[in-house]
Amino acid sequence: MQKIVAISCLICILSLCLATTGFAHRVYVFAYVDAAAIVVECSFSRSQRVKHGRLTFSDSETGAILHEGITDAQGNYRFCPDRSFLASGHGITVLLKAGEGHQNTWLIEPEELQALAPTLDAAPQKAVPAAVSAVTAASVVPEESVVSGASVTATVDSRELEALIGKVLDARLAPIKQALARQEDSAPRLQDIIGGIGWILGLLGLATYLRYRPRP
Amino acid sequence: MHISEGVLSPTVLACGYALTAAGTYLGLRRTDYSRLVTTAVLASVFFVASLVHVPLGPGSVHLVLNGLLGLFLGWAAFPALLIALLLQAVFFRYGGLAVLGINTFDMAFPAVLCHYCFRSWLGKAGVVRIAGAFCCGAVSVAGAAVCTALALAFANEGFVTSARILLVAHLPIMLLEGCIVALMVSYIAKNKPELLHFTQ
Repeated sequence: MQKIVAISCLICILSLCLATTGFAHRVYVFAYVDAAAIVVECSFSRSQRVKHGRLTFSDSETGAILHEGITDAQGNYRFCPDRSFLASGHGITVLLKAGEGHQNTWLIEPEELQALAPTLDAAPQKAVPAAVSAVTAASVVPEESVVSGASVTATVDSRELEALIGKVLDARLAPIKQALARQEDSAPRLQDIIGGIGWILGLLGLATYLRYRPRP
Repeated sequence: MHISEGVLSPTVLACGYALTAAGTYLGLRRTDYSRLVTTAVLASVFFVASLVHVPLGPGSVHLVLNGLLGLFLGWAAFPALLIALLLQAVFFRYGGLAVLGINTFDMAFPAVLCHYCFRSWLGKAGVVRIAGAFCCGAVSVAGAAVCTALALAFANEGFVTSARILLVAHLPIMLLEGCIVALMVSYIAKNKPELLHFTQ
């Protein structure tokens, strides 16, 4: 009996040592909105990404499927919902199926999705020639520059400006969003492991007491 | 090997809980109370060993060690695995409370089957004993993979596809756990052979 307990304890300790370099057996999905699209990051752990996991984007209120896709080798995916969906004011539920019974979801709130609206509105304008844009723009911010002695007036539409600012903000906020994603992906802590073992030993004590308690 | 929340239908989850309840009842009835400490220590080993993961292909596989528990505990593997999986769900968010029943059954049932299939081999000497221990460790993992695939088949993931993926992914773990159980049994046979004589 003592031998088996000793060997089991040894395996326990070895496992604890190895656990620090091991991988969590959960699947994580984290989605955020940048100026151009919804960005989804999927991983089993910080270092192990979900390659070719199945993603389903659905309306968070009606459950209607908007789009399906497969993550790339880095576990990432980008998706831009259409304008009509954004007008509905609903959120999007991102469901990741990583196979072998692993899945997880992430909810993107409607407020977050509104960041995409200026981009979608500005997108068709990009195809419009600059001269026409200058005529049609209602609220313009004039910006003068001199190229080879000739004066050229460039105009920026307010929507384009919004999209531009959004892009700059996204670049600045990207590290913060990635830090948030990493926070979601937290490995088991040593105190949890010790706590779990403590619970098992506590239950052993309880079972022993109930079995061998003095009876009148 | 842990099935996540939201994958299986309520019917399958209820069946999992019913089967686990039956197994746990039998386990508590048949527990050899002189082996309570062994049960707790092996439950701790299972609880911690599942944290050791081996990256493989698109996913990762982890040590299961259900064969080790099944071999030494028999039906008592059900309550031991139930407690360990409950704590994993609470502390590490592996699996979940809704799928606790089916996850316990998937891992405990093959382990109990292997206990009855291979325990007679352990009473014999030499290579037969080692082979029995190895098979118990390896086949228990394979059985858990097949049971998991069977549960996933009800979630429209396809039994054959899931079973193939899970078995291939767990092949290294099967070999590793077979070796771990064989080494343990070999050591115990030399130093404490009475532990290998099962009465129930």
